[in-house]
Amino acid sequence: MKGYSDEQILKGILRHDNLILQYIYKQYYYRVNYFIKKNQGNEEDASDLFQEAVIVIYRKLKENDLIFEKSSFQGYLFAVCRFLWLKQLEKRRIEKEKINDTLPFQENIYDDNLVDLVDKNEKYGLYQKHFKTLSSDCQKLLQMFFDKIPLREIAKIMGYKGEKYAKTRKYKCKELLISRIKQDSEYKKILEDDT
Amino acid sequence: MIRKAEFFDWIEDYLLGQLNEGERKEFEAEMKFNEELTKEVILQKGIQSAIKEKDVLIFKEKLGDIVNQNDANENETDSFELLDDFADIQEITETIAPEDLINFYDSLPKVHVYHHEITSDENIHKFYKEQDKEKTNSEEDSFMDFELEEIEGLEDAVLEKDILNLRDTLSQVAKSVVPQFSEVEIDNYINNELTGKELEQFEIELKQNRKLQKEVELHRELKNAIQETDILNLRSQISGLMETETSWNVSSQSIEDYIDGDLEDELLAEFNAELRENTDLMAEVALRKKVNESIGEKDIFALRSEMKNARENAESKEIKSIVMDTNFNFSRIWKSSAAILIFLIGIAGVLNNQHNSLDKSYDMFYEAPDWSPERSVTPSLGYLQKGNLYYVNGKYNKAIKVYDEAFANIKNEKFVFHFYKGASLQKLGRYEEAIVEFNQVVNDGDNMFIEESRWFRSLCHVKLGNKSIAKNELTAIINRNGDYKKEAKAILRRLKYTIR
Repeated sequence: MKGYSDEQILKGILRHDNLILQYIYKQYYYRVNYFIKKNQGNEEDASDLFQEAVIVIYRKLKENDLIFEKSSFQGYLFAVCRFLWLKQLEKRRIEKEKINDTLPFQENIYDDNLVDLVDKNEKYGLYQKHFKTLSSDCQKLLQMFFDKIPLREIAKIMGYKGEKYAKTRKYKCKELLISRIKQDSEYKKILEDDT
Repeated sequence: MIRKAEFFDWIEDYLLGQLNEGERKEFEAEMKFNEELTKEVILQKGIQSAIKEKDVLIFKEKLGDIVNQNDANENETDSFELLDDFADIQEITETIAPEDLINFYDSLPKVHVYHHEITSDENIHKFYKEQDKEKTNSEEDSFMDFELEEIEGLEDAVLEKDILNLRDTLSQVAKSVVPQFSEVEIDNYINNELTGKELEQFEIELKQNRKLQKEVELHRELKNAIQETDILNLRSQISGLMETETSWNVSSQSIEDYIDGDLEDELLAEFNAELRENTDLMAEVALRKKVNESIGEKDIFALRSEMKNARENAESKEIKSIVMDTNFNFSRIWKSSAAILIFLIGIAGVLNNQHNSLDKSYDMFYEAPDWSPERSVTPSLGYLQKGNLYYVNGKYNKAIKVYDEAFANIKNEKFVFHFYKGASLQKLGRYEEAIVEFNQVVNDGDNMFIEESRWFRSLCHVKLGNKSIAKNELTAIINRNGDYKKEAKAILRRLKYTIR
């Protein structure tokens, strides 16, 4: 398989390049998987975590906050994965001191910004997970509403009788979404952490 | 050093001022270091002073007497008569006349007024002034012996108790009150649609109400989260990729070379390094090794012919019993014969190295449908039994004729016949025609054969080499999360290799 430079990889992530994402998955996933399994996780944990690590890196890139001077993409990716998994272990009340470090991770990446960004990603990820469980018309409706498309136009696009119906439907969708989020035990944990 | 057992004597003497100068100094020095002793002294002091407040105790007793007296005095006409009806509260368990209910309706406000009055200095005085002097004369004498004002802090204490009660009540009220603002109002606030008084009220509440602050924060974050379409897309792109891609970083050729022992030096070291940690690669290597082993088994031919005989024997026996017993379960025969067939097809597929990759995919995954009469509902069981008798015996052309006959004569649930006609055509290798039949089942919209029809239709496309259609169909099967999801994923992976 063709190798890519760190710069190519970062640019690829920014533009959601399928080849680059494939490369990252094939090149690094099994090592993360091995690390998670060695540290009380399973396959599902590994794939969720790997995905979120790439998303975290993407968020960093979007904020223009990722420059590798001394580190490398691999070291950074593994460090993010390790950090995310330590957080998970903490949540599951598993001793993280006994972590079995199988990944060559880069140290000193844990700036405050990363910690905040990971928290935000966790919260937003949860909201987005529940958003994805809504019916597709609810998803479309909410997205259009938040994109500030006028209700009249939303009603027209969605084929609703009128603005009023679009508005009622939007409230119902949102209420459903909020109730699902609030029922999620993860959300309760996030709230506890905040207080 | 004072022994613990002597604590109490010393404390008592100390508090009563009965220690001499030396003992007092020693005791006070001990207190500085001994926290336990200090606490005990404070407690004892409290108890002593409480006991010493005899006047307060007397006052409490008197108040109790007065309240009892008031309850007994039904003709009393001061403000406490408000409680008269309330005294009969036990009557509630009995049948109550509407008039009584009307009289009762304001009992709670009456209690409120009662509380209000007992906490009001004025009314307390007024209350005592209006007592029946004859009855309370002797008591009044002793009662008047002390002045309320002389008991320092007593009034404050009485009031304080009420404040405590009030605090309790308020916390109860706070617990029972539902959020003041609805989701709609919060939404309107975030979208700047609240104006004037509404906005003012909301903002005042928002400043004080932490719960509301959290709600508003959740609504705001939610809005931002939903607008992150790029993240949503990237996440589904990655998860899609992880579902369809293999997770190893070595080529199929390297795996084969590794198994054949053709990998050397650096390449072998690299391969081994990955193999140590990559469980998916381990599984792939194991699978390929097994396939190689099965190809090497020459005696498989003998086994195949034995199985063929077994199948034929079994079928002829089963057919006899079908004739004799009309309730016979066809599904069972078909399953057993189909299982053998599939096995043979599978083996043949493995053995035939000339097959192209698409054919291999088809053979690996094609498993002819069972005939399950229980799914076929009511219509025309005659046609179905007749047709499927041919079907299970591999007489597909005859089966198709029966199904066609059925189309001409039945009106409902034709999808059953379309499905088995499709299955027969597929068996005959007439894939294009089979697709047409499966389309009919899928287009019917609501029946138990749809999922299978989609699956077999996608296999027909695989066999016909319609890669992009097959790919779309298989992806749709995966997205629907149906029974054939796993198989669809596996074929997709194989298709990708053939495309490369």
